[in-house]
Amino acid sequence: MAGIQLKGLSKRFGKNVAIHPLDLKIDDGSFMAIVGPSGCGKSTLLNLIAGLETPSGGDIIFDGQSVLNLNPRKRDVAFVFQTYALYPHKTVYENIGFPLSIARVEKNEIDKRILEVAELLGLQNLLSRMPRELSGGQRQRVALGRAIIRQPKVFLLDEPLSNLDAKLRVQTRAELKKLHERLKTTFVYVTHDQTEAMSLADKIAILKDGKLHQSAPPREIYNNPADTFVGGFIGSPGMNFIKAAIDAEGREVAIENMLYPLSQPLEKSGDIIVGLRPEHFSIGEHANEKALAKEAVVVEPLGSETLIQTEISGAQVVIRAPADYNCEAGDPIQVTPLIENANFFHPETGVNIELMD
Amino acid sequence: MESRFGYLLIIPALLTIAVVAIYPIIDVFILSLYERFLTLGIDEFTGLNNYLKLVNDARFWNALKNTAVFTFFSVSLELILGMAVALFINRPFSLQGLIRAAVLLPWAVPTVVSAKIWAWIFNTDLGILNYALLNFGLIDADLNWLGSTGYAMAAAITVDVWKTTPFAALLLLAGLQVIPDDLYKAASVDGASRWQKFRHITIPHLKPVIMIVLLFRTLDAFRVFDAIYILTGGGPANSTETLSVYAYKILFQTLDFGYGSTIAVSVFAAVMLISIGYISILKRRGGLLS
Ligand SMILES: Nc1ncnc2c1ncn2[C@@H]1O[C@H](COP(=O)(O)OP(=O)(O)O)[C@@H](O)[C@H]1O
Ligand SMILES: [Mg+2]
Repeated sequence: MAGIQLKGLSKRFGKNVAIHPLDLKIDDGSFMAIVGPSGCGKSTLLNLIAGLETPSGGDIIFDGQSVLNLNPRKRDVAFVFQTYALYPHKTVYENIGFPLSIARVEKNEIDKRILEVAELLGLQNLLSRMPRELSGGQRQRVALGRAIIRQPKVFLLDEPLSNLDAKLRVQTRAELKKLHERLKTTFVYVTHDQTEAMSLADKIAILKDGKLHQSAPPREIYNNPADTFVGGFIGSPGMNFIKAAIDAEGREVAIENMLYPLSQPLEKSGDIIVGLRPEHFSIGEHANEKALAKEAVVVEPLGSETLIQTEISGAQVVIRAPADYNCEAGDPIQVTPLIENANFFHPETGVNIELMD
Repeated sequence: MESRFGYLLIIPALLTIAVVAIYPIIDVFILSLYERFLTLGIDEFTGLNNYLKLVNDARFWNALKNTAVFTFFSVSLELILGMAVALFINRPFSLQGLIRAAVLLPWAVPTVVSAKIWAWIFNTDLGILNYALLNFGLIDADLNWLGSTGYAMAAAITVDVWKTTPFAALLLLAGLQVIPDDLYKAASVDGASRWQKFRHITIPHLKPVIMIVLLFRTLDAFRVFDAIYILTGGGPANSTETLSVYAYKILFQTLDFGYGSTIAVSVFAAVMLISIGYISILKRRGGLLS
């Protein structure tokens, strides 16, 4: 097991910067998710940690020791690829046992450990099959088996669920979480799917265009995103951003023509962006003194809830209403922002004002 | 009904093959059962006489041995060198496109031309090979490469290897390029060395391509004619005479059409056997692309 520390780590491919210098701490035994849109450098970051790519700058530290000069094998990491990367000419048995036979572990020991892993993952009956004779979910488990059998210090998983269909994905997600609880090894898990990251991880690192935007536990990221990108990316649907203004004392915020008192004064006045989650509105048919009179533009009844889209301060806003909320597109609605839950972002940089140094 | 229609559709193709391939083969076989000298006006049916003669013909066995030696060494070297070249040009580097094109050059030169070029390189008095070896002090006097029984076959193999290594390299390169990169990464993480990656990933993936290269090259090499005919004419002392060269000489120099055809039939039979061998291996592996 190992804690990982990235210090000023960066990677360039020619002139193209894939990873800007970043610092990140991954606690020993924790489940870290790295999440961001496609092309943001997630795989590159994972390859750097594994030693499959050489960094352009910075350091990678496992348990206080730099591993920059160690090749992937010496780093003692296991990797699960999005494509599974099973050896197509080897059986399931040989695939799982490959890392051990390369390390010249004794045959009896290999047999024993393959059977243990196969049992853990429910692969006992598939051991003599070839990869092409397996379903996607089975291949995925073989790839996991090949990683587990090494008993590595760190598991690196690059979008391991994205080739599975939706139902299997949710099921496997739960199994992965159980596996982590059982193995208590450090997991670094890359995904573009924020739901996956939220449901699995102890801590999430959010990457965009090779820059680390925030790294924090899921709840903290959800409640206090570091900037508008994080707020919009995390959550489904994402955070709403409304243009507003703060009064001179920093005690009130004006949205459209309505004034809302702030529970805690801000050290800022003038233009601001108010970030509100879809559930941070109250919605009704009857006017009250803090409500904005609006019209429902789109209504999406999802069964467990109803999403209502409207417009505030010229921006599209999605509001989460109870499942039984009766409303149709074009109906008038009364919307009250629950300002006590709001985050405030700088109008130009998009950075969360309360988290600014 | 549908299958009958299917057969109907391939009839033109079968007819074409019959006319251009099967008919000449049958004709040569029939000819091999005759004693026929155009110049002497002899033309009589002698049954399997020519085949009896073949079995007892030391020059035929010598040609068969030469053909086998030529085929074995040129094909082995082409495969090994082709693999090395393919691995080398498969890595990303600058001028990649240019180098890949340059590698193909020997393949693009007609054999007659390249054999002539090499004949000059090997030339005893004027050849650059002797000139270079003398200058580097590796030999004391000019060697007669093409005129000594010890070197002539090696020279012929060199010419064939020079010309057709690019062909092997190109096929192998195509095979290399479809191997997913993730497999090599997985193997790195699993602790495999370069050699182990080559052995556990590259070779299994390339096996079908290797078989194809071997099949094509073996058949080609077994029928070798132009390179040897131009380089040595089969000499010295028949030490480079292959079956095709022998057949040519009997057919068009001696004008012994019956016996020449018999040798040609033996080449055909050998090539058939080789093909059947390779194809059955390929089939056992479950198709070309398994
Ligand atoms: N081997 C490479 N050579 C050149 N550019 C690369 C290479 N690998 C990744 N990149 C670039 O780095 C950026 C990040 O890629 P990647 O880490 O694969 O993103 P992600 O996994 O988040 O989708 C992309 O712009 C990609 O084009
Ligand atoms: Mg990726």
